[in-house]
Amino acid sequence: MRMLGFLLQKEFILIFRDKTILLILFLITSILLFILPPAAKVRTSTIALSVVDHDRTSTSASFLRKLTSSNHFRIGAYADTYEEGLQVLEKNKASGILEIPKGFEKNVTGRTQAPIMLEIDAVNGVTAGLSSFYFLQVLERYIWEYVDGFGFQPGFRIESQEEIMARVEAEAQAEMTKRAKESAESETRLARSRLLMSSRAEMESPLQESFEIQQANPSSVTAKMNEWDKREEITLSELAIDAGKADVDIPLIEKPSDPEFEQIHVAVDYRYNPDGESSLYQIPSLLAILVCIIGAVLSALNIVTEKENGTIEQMNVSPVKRSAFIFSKIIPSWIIGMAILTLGLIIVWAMYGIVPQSSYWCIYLVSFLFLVSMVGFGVLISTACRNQQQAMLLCFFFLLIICLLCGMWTPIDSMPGWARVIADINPLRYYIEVMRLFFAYGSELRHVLPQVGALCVFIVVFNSWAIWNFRKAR
Amino acid sequence: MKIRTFIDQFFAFTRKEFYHILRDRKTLLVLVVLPISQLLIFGFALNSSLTEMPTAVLDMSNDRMSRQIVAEIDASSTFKVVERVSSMDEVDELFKRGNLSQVFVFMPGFEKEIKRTGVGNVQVIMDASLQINASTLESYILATLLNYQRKINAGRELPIQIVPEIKMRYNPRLDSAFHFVPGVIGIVLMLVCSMMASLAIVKEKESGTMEVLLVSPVRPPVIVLAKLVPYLLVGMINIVVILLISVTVLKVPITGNIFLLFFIGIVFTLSSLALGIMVSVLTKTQRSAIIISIAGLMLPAITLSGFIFPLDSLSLGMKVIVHLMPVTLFISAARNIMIKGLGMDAVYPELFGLLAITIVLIVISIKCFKNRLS
Repeated sequence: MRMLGFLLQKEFILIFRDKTILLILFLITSILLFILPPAAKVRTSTIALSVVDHDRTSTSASFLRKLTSSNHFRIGAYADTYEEGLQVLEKNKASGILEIPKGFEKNVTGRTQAPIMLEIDAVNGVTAGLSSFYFLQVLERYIWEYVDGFGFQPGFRIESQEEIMARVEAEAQAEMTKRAKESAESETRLARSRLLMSSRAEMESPLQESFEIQQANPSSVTAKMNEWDKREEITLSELAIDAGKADVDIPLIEKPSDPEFEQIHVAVDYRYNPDGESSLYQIPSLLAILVCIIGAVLSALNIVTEKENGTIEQMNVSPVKRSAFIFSKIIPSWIIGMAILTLGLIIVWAMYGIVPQSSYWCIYLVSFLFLVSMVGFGVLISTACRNQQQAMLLCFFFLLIICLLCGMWTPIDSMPGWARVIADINPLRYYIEVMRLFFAYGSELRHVLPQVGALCVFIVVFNSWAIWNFRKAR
Repeated sequence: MKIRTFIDQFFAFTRKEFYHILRDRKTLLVLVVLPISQLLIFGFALNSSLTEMPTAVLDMSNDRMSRQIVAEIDASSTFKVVERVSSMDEVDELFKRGNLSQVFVFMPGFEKEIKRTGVGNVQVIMDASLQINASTLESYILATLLNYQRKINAGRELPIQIVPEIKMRYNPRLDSAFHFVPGVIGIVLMLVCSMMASLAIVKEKESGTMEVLLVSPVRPPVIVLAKLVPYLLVGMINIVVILLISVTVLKVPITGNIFLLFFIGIVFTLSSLALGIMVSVLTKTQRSAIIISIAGLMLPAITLSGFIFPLDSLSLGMKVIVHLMPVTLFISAARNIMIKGLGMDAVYPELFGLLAITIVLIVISIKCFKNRLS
């Protein structure tokens, strides 16, 4: 034990003699934590479309407006031909081409199938899938809103009180004219029927008469509906001119008043993402990866440096036990790693205001366990190599795998089986899980016992393997 | 005369560097095998599609419709109903253990409500800690429910019929590899090249052979450039092998001009080597060079390069920083050529950017090297 104390003293003298390493570690930690988090905040951004509108009618314009008002799409460019639209796509100025064929409005109002083409840049499958889904969603909404609300234009939002009043008034007026016309019509019909059936008409009341005729002639209802619609259109465009807001008017078609249409609404409750930018998920993970890389690299270079410099020979001839020697190499790495973690936690708190939902001591405890396992892994590499270059290459090989297959970048569940096995024996995976649970979900230590158990297994395996692998006499 | 000596020195020195590299056959082998194995691992393993997301159901209604919806959700490959809970407390507990992605909540009388008012409400509590996954999952949920809605409303009339025809350009099967493989190529090439080069000069400093160079009449530009050449050759071999593998094994096509891609790859390799050389010139020990080239480069290369996270939601300042990294430019160009099949006019900004960065890095290395001479 006393021997370990002396060895540690030696190690710390070495560390503080060459202050550049400490300075480099400090700089790397702070610079990376300054520039990485803004890039790692994953938002779903608006999707720019290049629009090729062959139809150029009010219906296509209203559809485009509906599309852009959904916050998922914006129009990057208008193009005249598909080729022009494609050029915009190829210059990365847009991520999709929307082509509205000629006769779109005619098809819509004629209630025949109106095709519409969307071509998405699908190099990134995730965002492409998302875009296509958003498009379908907007389309579905557009279809239902097209005739939803009496006299409403799709995508045309009447916000002000006066406009609502004007609309109600217009509706009332339309209703009035309709009634007036209806009564006039029924009167003319009445007159006609009186003329035709004058003998009977004289004996019955006019009210009953009109009722009878209406019942006898049900096909006139649709015709009347169409007439009414035309009138409605006129009133609406008048209203639009008054309001000075609507620049296009939509030919309205009758709404299928099917009261039995059954809808299922979804209310999504987003949790654990207070700022909408995934910071609580990404930033602790970045910190975890940083601690992992630094801990492993530092310890991997430890013993191998002595080997390269030849000072290991002195160790070999001295009466130092090999576990004491290894521990004297491991403990400084633990301390530096914890210092890096502390610095990182301070930066994360000061810069981004991110504090764990659970207590700091839980974080320190789990981080310490993780560091012990990673440092053990680094020393294992160190014992297996003869010079620093080899250690660097091995370290790089394993660290890139550890970092990329840790579940932060792509979900582990969607990896093929063999990659899931790699992820299962990856300490960083468990550490990142725990960091996220602590930071975002407010979990307590009892929730993360499986992960802590896994880390303990790694500690035992890596460290005992490292001690076993290190033979003094060589 | 002066140029003549420069060229002579350059060739002599390059030959020396080749001896260095060829003598250490093991390392050379590692330098070729390592990028290949990593490309294979990541090319197959990285897949951003979401499958079997753990889902819980809190069904307080338990009627025909709610059961049908749950069955519908469970049947999709995206969701997997792992738990049926009976209270919100259990839900919290599951979230805190980290093994739950979303909960579906059906209020009592779900079906009755639909029959009565025509509208039923489903509540979904979602772990949104990673926004992009949450959005994707939400879209799947909505799609499933819309499908179900269409099913129960089959035969009812639609107001208008707009038939969307959606084409996935460049990647019709939405293959994740199309997105990741150019990225993996960029990241692995960059890290391997800059690591190799980062030891080139500092090793001589540490082993003391630098003294010999300093007293010789060889000038700094010759030393720096000659160090680059053999590594550039290794890098070129790597590019060829990597591209072969991505086409034959990973089934990612090269739709564009392969020579253009190769050329950009060489320029990119050169810029990564220049970055490594700069690290090597600026550091005093191998240890600090290694720490910088692994701890300082790995995370930014993954995070800032557009390899995984799309770059278009970044702020303008961040965009500028991000595009100062050679790997960002290369990945963007590689995607344009490999996947989109675009030509020179689409990638010349990236190409000129890479050239400019390379020249700046080499000039910095030579200047700093000179300082150490005096």
